Formats: sequence, C-alpha cells, structure tokens
Amino acid sequence: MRLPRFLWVPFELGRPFGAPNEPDFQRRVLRSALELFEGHSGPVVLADFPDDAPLRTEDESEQVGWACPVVFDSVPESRSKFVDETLAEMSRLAPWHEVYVEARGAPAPGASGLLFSRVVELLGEFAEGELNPEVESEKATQEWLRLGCDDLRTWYMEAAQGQPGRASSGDLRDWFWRNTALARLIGAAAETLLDHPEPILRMLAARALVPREYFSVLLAGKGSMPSEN
Amino acid sequence: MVRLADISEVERAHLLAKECAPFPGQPWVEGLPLSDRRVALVTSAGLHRVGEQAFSLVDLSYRVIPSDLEASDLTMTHSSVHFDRVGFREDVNLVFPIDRLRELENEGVIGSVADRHYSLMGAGWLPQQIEPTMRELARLLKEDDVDAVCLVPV
Repeated sequence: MRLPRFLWVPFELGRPFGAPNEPDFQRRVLRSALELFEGHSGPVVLADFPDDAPLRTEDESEQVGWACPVVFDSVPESRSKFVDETLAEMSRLAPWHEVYVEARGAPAPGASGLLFSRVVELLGEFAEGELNPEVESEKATQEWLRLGCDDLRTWYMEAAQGQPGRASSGDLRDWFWRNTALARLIGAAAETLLDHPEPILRMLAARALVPREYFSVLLAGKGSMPSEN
Repeated sequence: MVRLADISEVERAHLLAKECAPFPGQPWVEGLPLSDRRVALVTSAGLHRVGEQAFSLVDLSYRVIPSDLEASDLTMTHSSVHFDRVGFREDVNLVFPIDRLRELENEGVIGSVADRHYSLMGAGWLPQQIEPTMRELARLLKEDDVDAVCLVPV
C-alpha cells in the first residue's frame, strides 16, 4: 500500500510488540519504529525488525513437551451433550484458572456481558438448530456471540497457562481447537449459523467463530471452506 | 505482522488474495528531530475504557484513550479467531505501548507523549471506508500538537 514509513515485525498476529511483560524488548521495537522518522531517503521506508519475540518462559526447556493434563472425553454422541461436556470441562479447568489468577492477578472481566455458563447454553441452542434463542442482552446477536466466544477462549487459554510447564501460543491454539469440548460446541453452533437467514450471522460463522484451518476438524458437514456471503 | 510461513496454508491463501489498493499519492514529510517530537499512538486493537461502548463487528468509529488512563481501565472488544486476548490482558503494552513511550520520553529519545491516543476496530472495513475517521483523527492529533504518530496494527 506504500505507506511512508513501515517497520515490519515477525511476531504473531495480535502481538505487535512481540511478547507481554518484556519491557526492554518492547522498547526496542517501539524505538526502531520511531527512529524511521530520522530517515531521509523516502518516500517509502520499509525496515525489518531483526529479531523474533522472546520466549515467555525463563526456562526454555520447559517449552518442549507441553501437554494439557486435563483429560477430555471422546466426542459426544448428540449435540446437546456438547453443552454438558463443555461445562464439565470448565469445572476441570477452573482450578487451573485460579492458579493463573494467583500468579498473575485477576484479569479484566469478560466483554460479552453474559455469564460464561449462559454463553455455553446459548451456543448449545445454536448447535441444536435454534436460529434465534432468547438472550438477555441488548447487544446484537453477532456481538454477544463473538465476544462471548472470545471471553471463553481467553479463559481457557489462561487456565491452560496455569498448568505446569509453559506452552507456546501455537501449542495453546492447537490444543484449544483440536482437543476441547468448547471448540466442538462452537463448531456445531457455527454449522447452524452458516445457514442462518441473517447475512451478518452467516459471515460471522464463516469468518469469525472458527479459524479456517480447523473447519475440517470442527464442522463435520462443512469440511471445505464455506462461501462468505 | 506475522510471517506468511508461520500461518496455515488456508489462512496464507486468504491473506494473499486480499485486495490492498495502493494509496494514490506517496505522502512523505520530514520534520523535527525525534527528540523534539510529540508522539501519539493509534492502535487497531479495539481498546476502550471498561464500560464504554464496545466496538461492533463492522465499526468505523474510534475511542479516545487519555495518556494518563490506567491499563486496568482498558478492555479489548476487537475479536479474532487468529489471536487471543491473553497477552493483552497480561500487559497492555503488547498492543498499546504507552509505558514504553513514557520511558522513551524520560530518556529523551522523544520530545513528549501526546495527551490523547486513539483506538479503532482493526477489521471489518476496507482502507477507503475508514478514511473519514482517519481525517477526523488527524485533526484531533493536530489540536494536541502531535507531530509523530505510531500506528499499531494488531
């Protein structure tokens, strides 16, 4: 797009300054970006930041072999069981979330305005084919739904980080989408929403509930990429 | 921005297929030394004060973040299946490096930190659709005597 000054960084999406709680590294990134103002060879300065983000653990050997010790049941036979499976899963993870909070402090509240258990129930209604569940929220369906799913996924990631060892965010992402009942529940809800009469909800299901690379895992009847209409 | 090699094949293909039309001009302005500049942050992380109206899925509005706001008063309502909020919740500087900017001010690397910074929803619109919003932000930044802006895509 030919922006006048651009520092390209090799970090994960959602982490433009590399890693949390790494002030020296973050300051280097910011300083590298701002120092582009000192250049006189424009228009268009495109610079590369040379280093990858620091690993988040003090002991890099702990990165190897991380595995979530919570054991998950096999795929439920019916969609309504996804809800029970998810709530049971959350009960198993809750102590690990407490460990996380004790170590790092209580994070900000969720953004959807709904209780986590309520979001799970509503996802279950979508999963069972209900197109317009009654919701005690002033937010539009696409808003409480996306924020609620994000709140839950964030809570899961935090709980997983309360467990022994240290996982990379890639490990956590793969663990969440491949191994949790909540991911299967979100996938089942997305399958219903892909055929919703409201275009914004079809778009949400196609783009903003399940990562594209996990469609074949989580949307049994929609293994290929859906259209984004 | 992540390396294309570090994301899945299906996501890589999606990003490469995006239409990113170049701007018609090539803006280039040289100015004061960095150590004399007043610097503001503009982030697309969808940050705003807790209790303030959340960003919506397709949202061309912006939120003001005063320079002295506590990090614990900020929440994120940009959402994406491609990143998680855990990093932001641990350290706001990951997406909005306000503490780092203050440190650079104290070190004399920059002249000063702006009084106000801004946040947008970083998805759901095309560049030309956000232009009126950005022109409004440019006016507000000028009123704050800002002469350097760090745009932080998330």
